[in-house]
Amino acid sequence: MLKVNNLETYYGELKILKNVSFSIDEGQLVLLLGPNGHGKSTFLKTICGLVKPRKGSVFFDDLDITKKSVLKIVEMGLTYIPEDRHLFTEMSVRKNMLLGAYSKKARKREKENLEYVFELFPRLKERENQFASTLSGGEARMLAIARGLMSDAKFLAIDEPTLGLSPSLRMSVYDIIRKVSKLGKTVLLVDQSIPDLADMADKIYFMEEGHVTHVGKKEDALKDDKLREIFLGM
Amino acid sequence: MGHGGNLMKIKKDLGVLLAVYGLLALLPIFFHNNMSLMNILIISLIWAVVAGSWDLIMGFAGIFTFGQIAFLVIGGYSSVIFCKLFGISPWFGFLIGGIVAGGAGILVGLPCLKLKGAYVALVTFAVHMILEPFLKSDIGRAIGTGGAQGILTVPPLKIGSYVYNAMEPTPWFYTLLIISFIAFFIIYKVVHSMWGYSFIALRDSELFAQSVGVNAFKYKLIVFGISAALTGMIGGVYANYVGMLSTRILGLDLFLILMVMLVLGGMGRFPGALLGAFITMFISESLRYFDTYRLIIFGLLVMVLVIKMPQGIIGLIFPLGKAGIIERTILHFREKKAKKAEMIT
Amino acid sequence: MLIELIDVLISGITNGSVYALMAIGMALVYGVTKVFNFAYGSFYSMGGYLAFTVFGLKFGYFPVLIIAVPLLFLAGFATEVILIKPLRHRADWEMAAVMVTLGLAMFLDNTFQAIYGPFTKSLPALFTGGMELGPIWIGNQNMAMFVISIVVLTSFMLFLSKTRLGMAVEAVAQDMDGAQIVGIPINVVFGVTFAVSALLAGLGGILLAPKYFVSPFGGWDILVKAWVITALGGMGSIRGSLYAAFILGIIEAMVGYWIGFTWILFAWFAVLLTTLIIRPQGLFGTWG
Repeated sequence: MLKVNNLETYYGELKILKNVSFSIDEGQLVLLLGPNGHGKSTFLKTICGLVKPRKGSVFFDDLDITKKSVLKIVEMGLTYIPEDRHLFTEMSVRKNMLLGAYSKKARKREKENLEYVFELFPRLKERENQFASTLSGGEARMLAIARGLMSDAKFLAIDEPTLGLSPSLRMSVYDIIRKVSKLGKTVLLVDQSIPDLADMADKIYFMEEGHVTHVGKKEDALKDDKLREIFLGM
Repeated sequence: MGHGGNLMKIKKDLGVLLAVYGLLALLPIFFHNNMSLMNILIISLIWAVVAGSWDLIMGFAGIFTFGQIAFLVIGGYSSVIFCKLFGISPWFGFLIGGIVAGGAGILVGLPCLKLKGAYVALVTFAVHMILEPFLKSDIGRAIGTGGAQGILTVPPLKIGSYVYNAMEPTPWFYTLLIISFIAFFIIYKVVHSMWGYSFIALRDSELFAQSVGVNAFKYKLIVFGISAALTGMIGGVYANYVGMLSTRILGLDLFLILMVMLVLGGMGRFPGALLGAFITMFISESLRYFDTYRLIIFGLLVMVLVIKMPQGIIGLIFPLGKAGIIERTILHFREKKAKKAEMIT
Repeated sequence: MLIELIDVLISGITNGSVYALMAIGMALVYGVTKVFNFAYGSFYSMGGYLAFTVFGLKFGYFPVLIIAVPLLFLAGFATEVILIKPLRHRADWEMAAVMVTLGLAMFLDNTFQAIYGPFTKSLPALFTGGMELGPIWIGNQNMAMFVISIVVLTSFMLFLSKTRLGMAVEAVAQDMDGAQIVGIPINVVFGVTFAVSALLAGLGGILLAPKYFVSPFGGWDILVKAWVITALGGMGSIRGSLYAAFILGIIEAMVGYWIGFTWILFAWFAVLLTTLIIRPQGLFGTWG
């Protein structure tokens, strides 16, 4: 579904992504792990079109989207859910979600999606008319995911959705991601630590200093000495 | 790019400056009898200093100020008023104009330190806007601004027994050549000093600058002061050369023409303002007979230049990626840090 | 004394309503596109000259609106597409945008001067007469300006909060990346924002033309006033601009009545500077 070839992305003169290749099939759940500041978020921003790469290509549904605008990419069904949320803080929760369904494609299914997303996030339903700025950290993260789901995307790229959350909140966020994945959506989840979803993941990528240093299942990762240390050390 | 690149760049800037001044110094040999041309050259040198010091604060330091003409006027008025009041030589008047304007610059800079781009522009433009009613008011008249009429007589400039006069432009020309060279040399020194690197660091990333220990407040105030002082000093010279001073130069046309000089020469590209000033003045003069359309054309020119030629004339001659500047700055601070570390160990 | 005060307040509120109209256009553009539009005042003058031209054809005020509204909208949209969009990818684009719009202002103002001459043009009042409420007299022209401003302001606020495009505009103002991520076409939003802003400024010019006349550089006064208002309210905050417009409108009326008209701008700057020293982001502004 998504195929990335030899991607190189720069910030100014700083090379962030170094020859990154990546692939994910329809319906899969794939994890992208690695330490902070090693290019994981840049990778997501590059595939969703927010940052343009200098080299390499990105294919989505066999179409070259490397040079496409964020808008086009969203309309094709790829939605990025950023770690720093980017909510519309001075608007109600409901309006945030409605704006999530801004693209033409999502608009048609706005009503059904709203119902289904509120079902997934009963907490947000309770706070429907509150400003997004009044939400707690956990709720805000849920809203970011909920808004992303409203776009009716088939592919969700989620950036560290549990950063800074309490263990119980983490569990519920992972639960939701599990549900979404089971509904048939393709999910690429970026995280720093090993989430509880590791067992369920079809593939795990490991990224260090802008390189993909490991690809495989959880078991494969555990065979690697260095990775095992990181896994078990957590 | 190592330290050598740094030095090369510095030498190149100085070389360009010297070459331009060398060429300028030759001009009177051919044109000393052409009064109107000499006049244009002299005025160009005056505006070049204003544009250059504006470029120092806006192009290099990235502080959005619109108060440059206000400082020119403050310097001009205080220079002439002091000369008349105390009978001092206009040469000292220029210095006083610079000091007063520099003080005003720091004073205006103070409230701007905490403000962001568009606010700084507003506060400094407010100074510009308020200056005219103030100079025309009773308070203004009381300190000798001459009210709406302005100051109609300015004490003449002398050197020994020679009295500068409008009929002999060549001495004026060489005097301005020296004064403006000093001003540009100061700007050059500032740009290529610790301060200059701090400005560039501040402009490109305040966060980065603070992380390497640049005190944003101090440097911003310094640049406000220097830029205003140079402009104020040339304000005194301007009043002396023109022989009168009124609030008319606060009009928007000069504001725009100075801006054309900056974008034409290349913002933040030394010594773009100098080249920009000459080219702009010559365009302006050749459009003299289309006066109504002159500012229309200038307006168009600003739009086209900003969009199509972001680095100005200097950029055409010496193209330079922005990354180069950042790299240089980072390099400079790394070297400085390394030196500090050496000294400690 | 009480009647004087009421008179001054009424005049202050009338001023405030028109200023609110002028300032939100600027606050909108700054809030959404982060561009400080120096040509804002020129769109005001453009409205005035459009009114003058169409009115000169002896059709009355109604056709003025029919012709001016689409033209102003187009002018604003074109400004964004032709002048601002090409700058957006540049690191120094904010400064470049200021210079480009300054160039546009000079271009437009001097073009007005070339076409209409340097002298002011006058337009007949929309309404004459007035009404008496006991000892207080309210001019119909002022009353009409107040009502029209409030109607335009209300419809603008409804546009922002109720329509899909309006919500998108607000979303871009609150979080540009967030807006892109959900698939809001930000280029369209930028264009529409400039268009609406030019329209608001131009409508202000049409409304105020009978009272203050039309002149080639008359827009600068409006630009500076709208700028002070938005800065006081917090650049980019529409709510802040509304409050600030009425605060400064009332201050203007008071200073004008009791101290003298020349001191109005001084008073405005004094209020602004004091506020900024205490709150550098303005009354309702947020950093970012």
